[in-house]
Amino acid sequence: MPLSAYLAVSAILFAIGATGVVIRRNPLVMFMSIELMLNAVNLSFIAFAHFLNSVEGWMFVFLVLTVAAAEVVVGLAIIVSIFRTRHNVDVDELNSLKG
Amino acid sequence: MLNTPFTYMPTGADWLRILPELIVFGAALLVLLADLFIPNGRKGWLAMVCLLGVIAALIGVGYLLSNGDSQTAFYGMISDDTLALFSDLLILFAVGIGLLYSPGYIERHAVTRIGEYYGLMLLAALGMMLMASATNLMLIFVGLEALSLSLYILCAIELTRFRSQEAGMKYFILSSFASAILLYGMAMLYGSTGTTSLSGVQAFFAPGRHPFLATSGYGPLLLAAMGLLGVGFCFKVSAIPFQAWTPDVYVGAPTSVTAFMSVGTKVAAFVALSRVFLLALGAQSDKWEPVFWIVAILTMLGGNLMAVVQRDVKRLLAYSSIANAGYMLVAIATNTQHAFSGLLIFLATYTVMNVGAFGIVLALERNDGQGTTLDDFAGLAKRRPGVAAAMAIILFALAGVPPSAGFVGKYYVFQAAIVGNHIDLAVIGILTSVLGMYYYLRVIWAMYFTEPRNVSGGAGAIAATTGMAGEDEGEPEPADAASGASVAPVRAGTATLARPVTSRRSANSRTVVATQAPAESAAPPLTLGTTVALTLAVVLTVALGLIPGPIVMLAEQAARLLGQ
Amino acid sequence: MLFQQIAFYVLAAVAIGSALGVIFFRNAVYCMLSLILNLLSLAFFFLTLEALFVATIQVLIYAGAVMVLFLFVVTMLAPSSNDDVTGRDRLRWQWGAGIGMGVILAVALCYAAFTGRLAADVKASGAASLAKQVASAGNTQAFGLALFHGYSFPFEVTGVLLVIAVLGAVALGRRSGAKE
Repeated sequence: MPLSAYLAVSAILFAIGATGVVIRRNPLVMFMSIELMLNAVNLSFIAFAHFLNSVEGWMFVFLVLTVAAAEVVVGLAIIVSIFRTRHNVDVDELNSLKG
Repeated sequence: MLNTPFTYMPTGADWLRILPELIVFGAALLVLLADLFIPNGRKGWLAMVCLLGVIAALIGVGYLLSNGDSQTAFYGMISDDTLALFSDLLILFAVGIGLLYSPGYIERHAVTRIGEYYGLMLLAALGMMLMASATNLMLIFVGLEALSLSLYILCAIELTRFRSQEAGMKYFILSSFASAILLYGMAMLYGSTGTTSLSGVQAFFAPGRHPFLATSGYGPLLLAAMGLLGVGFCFKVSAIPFQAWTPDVYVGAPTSVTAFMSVGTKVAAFVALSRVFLLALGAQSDKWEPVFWIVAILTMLGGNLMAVVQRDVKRLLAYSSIANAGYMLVAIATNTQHAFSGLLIFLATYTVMNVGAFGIVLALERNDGQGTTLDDFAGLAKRRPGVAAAMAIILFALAGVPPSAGFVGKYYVFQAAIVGNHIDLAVIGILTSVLGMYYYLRVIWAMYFTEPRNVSGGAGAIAATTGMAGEDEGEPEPADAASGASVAPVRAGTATLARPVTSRRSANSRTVVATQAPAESAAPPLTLGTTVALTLAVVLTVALGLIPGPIVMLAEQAARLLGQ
Repeated sequence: MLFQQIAFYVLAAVAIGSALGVIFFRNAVYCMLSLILNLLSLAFFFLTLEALFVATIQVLIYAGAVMVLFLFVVTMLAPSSNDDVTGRDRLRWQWGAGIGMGVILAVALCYAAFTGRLAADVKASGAASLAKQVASAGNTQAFGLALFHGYSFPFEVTGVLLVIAVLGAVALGRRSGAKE
C-alpha cells in the first residue's frame, strides 16, 4: 500500500480522537481520545520511517509510548484524586473557577 | 561485532555541555532522598536543598557562558549555545523565586506531600531547560512532557482544595490535547523533511538544495506540519484563541507554582517555538509569518480587553500574561534577528516582573484562597505600605512606564517591529499597552487612593489590618542585583529554619478554620523567604529598567544564532 | 500483494471502527475495550510496515500493561460515573460542532496525505538508513543499536518522566498520607 493510505488512516484516527476530546465530557473518555490521537501519530511515524527508510520514526514512537505511559499514570492519579474529592468527574461541573 | 552504522558514544564533553541540567536533576534526586530523613516539622530544609541546587546550576550556567563551546551534544540532541544558557538563566531564576515563596505557602495551605512538591518543582524546571536547549524534535517533545507532567501534579497537589484539583485536571486534559497536536505536527515535519533534527530541517530548506520548493510552492504535508506545530505551540504559550485554560489554571494552582509556571513555561515554549519556526523553518517564513501576525493581534487585543473587566487581581494577572504573550508573538511575526533579541529581552523583563506580581498576590491572599479582589487591595498602602510599594513598582513596570523593566522589554520588541516593517503590529501593541495601563493603574489607584471597603470575606479586611501590625516588610533596598542573589539562599535558609512548618492537622482543618474564625483567615505576615524573593524581584525590576545593558548584550549574543 | 491490500483494508476498518467506538460508546468500559482493540489493530499496522519491535512493545507494554491500568481505574470509577456522568450528553449543537470540526480536520489532513509527496532525496542513506541496519543486524538489533547509540539521550530523559510519574502517583494517590 502507498504511504498516503497509511497517512490517511492516521489522519482519520487523529480527527476522531480530537472530536472525542471536544464532544465527550467524561474525563476518562476525553483522556482515551487523547491516547487515540497519540496512537494515530505513532502510525504516521512508523509509516514515514518505513517509506523514508529512516530509523528516527521508530525512535520517536518509542519515546511517545514511554511518554504516554507516564501520562496515563499522572492523568489517572489526578482523575482518581479529584473523584475522591467530589465523587463526580464531569468536566462541565468543574466550574467553581468561573467568574 | 555487528557492522553497525551507529557508532556514536557520548563523551565527557557531551555531559559537560548539559552541566546545569545535570545539577538540577541531581538536586531533585537529592531532595527526594532527603525527604526520607527529614522529620515532618522541618520540611523547610528541603527548600534550602533545592535553592542550593538552583544556585549550583546558575554557577554551571555561568561556567558554560564563559567556557562553553556552543556545540550540540548527544548526537545533535541538545545544545549549550547562548540561547539555551540565556533561557536556563531565566528558568532557574523563576524556579528559585518560586522555591523562596514555597515554604510560606506550604505552611498555610493543604500541601501535604512536601518532598514531592519540591522534587517536582525542580523536575519541571529541568523539563523547561531541556525543552529550551533542545535542538531535536524528540527532545523538545520529551522536555515538554517532563515540564507538563510535573506541572499537572503541582497544580493538583493541594488535595483538600477543590480548585487546585480542578486546575490540575483542566490543565492536564487541555495540555495533553495540545501536546498531541504538536506531536502530529512533528510527525508531519519529519515526514516532509526526513529528519527530526532542527539543523537537518534547516539544511533541507537551504537555498538551492530543493529547487522544487521554490517552483511548486510547498508540499501540503509541510503546510499541515506548520499548521499543527503552530496550533500546538499557541496552546502552550496561551495565545488567543487557544488561551481558555490559562486563567482557570493560573488561579487554581498554588500561587507559588503559578509564579513559577506562568514564566517558566513561556520561556521554554517561546524559545522552542523560535528554534522551530525562526531557525529551522526560517526559509519558509512567508507561510507562517501571516498566521503569527493574526494571532499576535488577537492575543494583544483579547488579552488586554479581557483583563480590563477582571475584578480579581490574580485573574487579572493571568489575563495580563496572555496579553504579554501577544507582545512576544509580535517579535515572532516580525522574524528578524533584531526582533528575536527583543523577544529574549522581553522574556527576561517579563520573568522578573511576573514572579514579583504573583508573589504579591501570594502575600495578600488568605488561607482560603480569597482576598485578592480589587476591593481587598483598597487602602492597602495604609495597611501594608511595603507590600503596596512593591506592588506599585511591579505594576508600573508591567504597564511599561519608562524607567522600568517593562518599558525596556516593550521598547526593544516594538522598535524591532517598526524596523522590520511591521508598523501595524507596533501601533496595535502600543495602543493595547495604553489600554493595559488602565487596569494596572486601577490596582495602584485602589491601593493608594481608596478607603478599604468591607465587601469580600466579612471580617477579613479588618482582621488583615490588625494582623498586619507586626509585619516585617523588607523595603526594596537599592542593593546590587548580583550580591542580592548570593545573599538570598542564606536568608531563605534562616527563614525556613526559624519557621517550622505547622502540623499537617491544622493544614487539613484549614477550610473549617477559614470559614469560622475570620482572624485565622487573614493574610499572615510575610515569611523571610517571601520577603527576600519579593525584594529580589523588585530590585531586579528596577535594575533592568535602569541598566538594561548586560541583559541586552546577552540577548543579542543569543540572537546571533539566527544570523548564522 | 493482494493479501497485503486485503489486510490493510480490514485493519483500517477495524481501527477506524474501534476509534469511533471509543468516542461514541456511552459506557466508559466499552470505550476502554474499543481503545484496546484500536491499539491492537495499530500493532498489526506496525507489523505490515516491518516495525517488528515497535509492534511487540505496542502489544506488550501499551495495549497490555498500560491499558490494563487504565481499565482498572475505569472499572473502579465506572459504577458511579457510568449512568449519571456519561449518560448526560453535551448539547446537540456542541455535538454537531464537534463532529463538524472533526470531519473538517480529517478531510484537510487526508488531503495533505494524498497530495503530499516525499522529496526524492530525503530518504535516509548511510548511518540512519533503516534498511541497511535491518539487513545487517536484524530488526530488533537495529532498533537497539539506534536507541543506545544515536538516540540514547532522549531515552535517558524518559527516565526523568518515569520519576515524575511515580512522584505524581505518590503525591496524589496516597490519601492516607494527608492524615499522618
